[in-house]
Amino acid sequence: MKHARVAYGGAIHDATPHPQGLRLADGRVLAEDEVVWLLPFEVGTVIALGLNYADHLKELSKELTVSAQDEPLAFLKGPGTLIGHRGQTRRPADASFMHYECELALVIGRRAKHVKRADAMTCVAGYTVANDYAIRDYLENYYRPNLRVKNRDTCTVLGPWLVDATDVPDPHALALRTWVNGQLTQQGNTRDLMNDIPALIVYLSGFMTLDEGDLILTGTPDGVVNVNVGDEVVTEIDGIGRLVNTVVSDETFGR
Amino acid sequence: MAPRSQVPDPDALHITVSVDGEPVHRNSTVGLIRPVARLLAAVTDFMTLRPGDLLSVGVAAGAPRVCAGQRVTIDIEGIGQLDNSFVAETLA
Repeated sequence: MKHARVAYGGAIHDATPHPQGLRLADGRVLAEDEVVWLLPFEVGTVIALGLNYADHLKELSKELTVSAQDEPLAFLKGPGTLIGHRGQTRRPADASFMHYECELALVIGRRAKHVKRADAMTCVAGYTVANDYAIRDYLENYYRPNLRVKNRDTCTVLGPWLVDATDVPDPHALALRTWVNGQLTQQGNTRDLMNDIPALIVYLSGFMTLDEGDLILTGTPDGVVNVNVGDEVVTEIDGIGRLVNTVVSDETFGR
Repeated sequence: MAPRSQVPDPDALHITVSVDGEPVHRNSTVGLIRPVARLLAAVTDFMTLRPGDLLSVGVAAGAPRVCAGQRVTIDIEGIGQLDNSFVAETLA
């Protein structure tokens, strides 16, 4: 099953996909642009992986000392950075290089500590799509990305659907794509994750308790390009969803 | 939690860290590279802070190391005394 949460007609509803768009839990069928898309579930701790695709690592290799043999590079994000499908992300006027990052996001389904690799997939409730923007102008250190790069209001887009893990037989064989204004700019596949999903769960649960609703953003492949105010950015993962976002200016936010 | 009205200058607080009752590290928020007001201005430029959010202003050089079995007390003048004990982590 795929699940969403949307606002419509003055209330918040659970929704599922429908050929014409979506179907609310009360039976009403609506087009995608008739509703406001909220985060598809109550999000707990957000853990993001940097440099988790070999090609993205290679792209940056001149600037890095990290290698595929090192342990995962993970950092946290706060709740204010998250927005839903069809939302608006603010691009600061002084930025020269702001890019999207199409990522498979996995949702934890139960409390987990010191998980063994053989049990790791039983901790996963499901998957969604994340577009984890970064503003490279502000990046000082790849290993500890600062909040100004990675925790900006509106810069982590999530949704539209939470897809049950049982409906994703192999999460390590999913094609990822990003389009900017209809032009394909990024392509990858989750088979190229350097730290796969069980490895991430084993690693993280080795020193912190994971809980229901926690979110792990698994990283992005090669192919990130600058986006500008007015651009429509679509991040898509086969079988998981197609997440739409629009880049807007400081003026939209009254600055 | 000490209300703001009882902390006239957060950029001038003395901090003492003790291990097992023995003072081992003294510091002051006078040394902050980014004083509290400047830190708030910098952070809220790109992220929204809400009531209950916590902004930790950083640690001075020379932070003491502790072992399992030891007790640490952090005393910030006018703010309070925070006690914390360490135990060894055991793998499940």
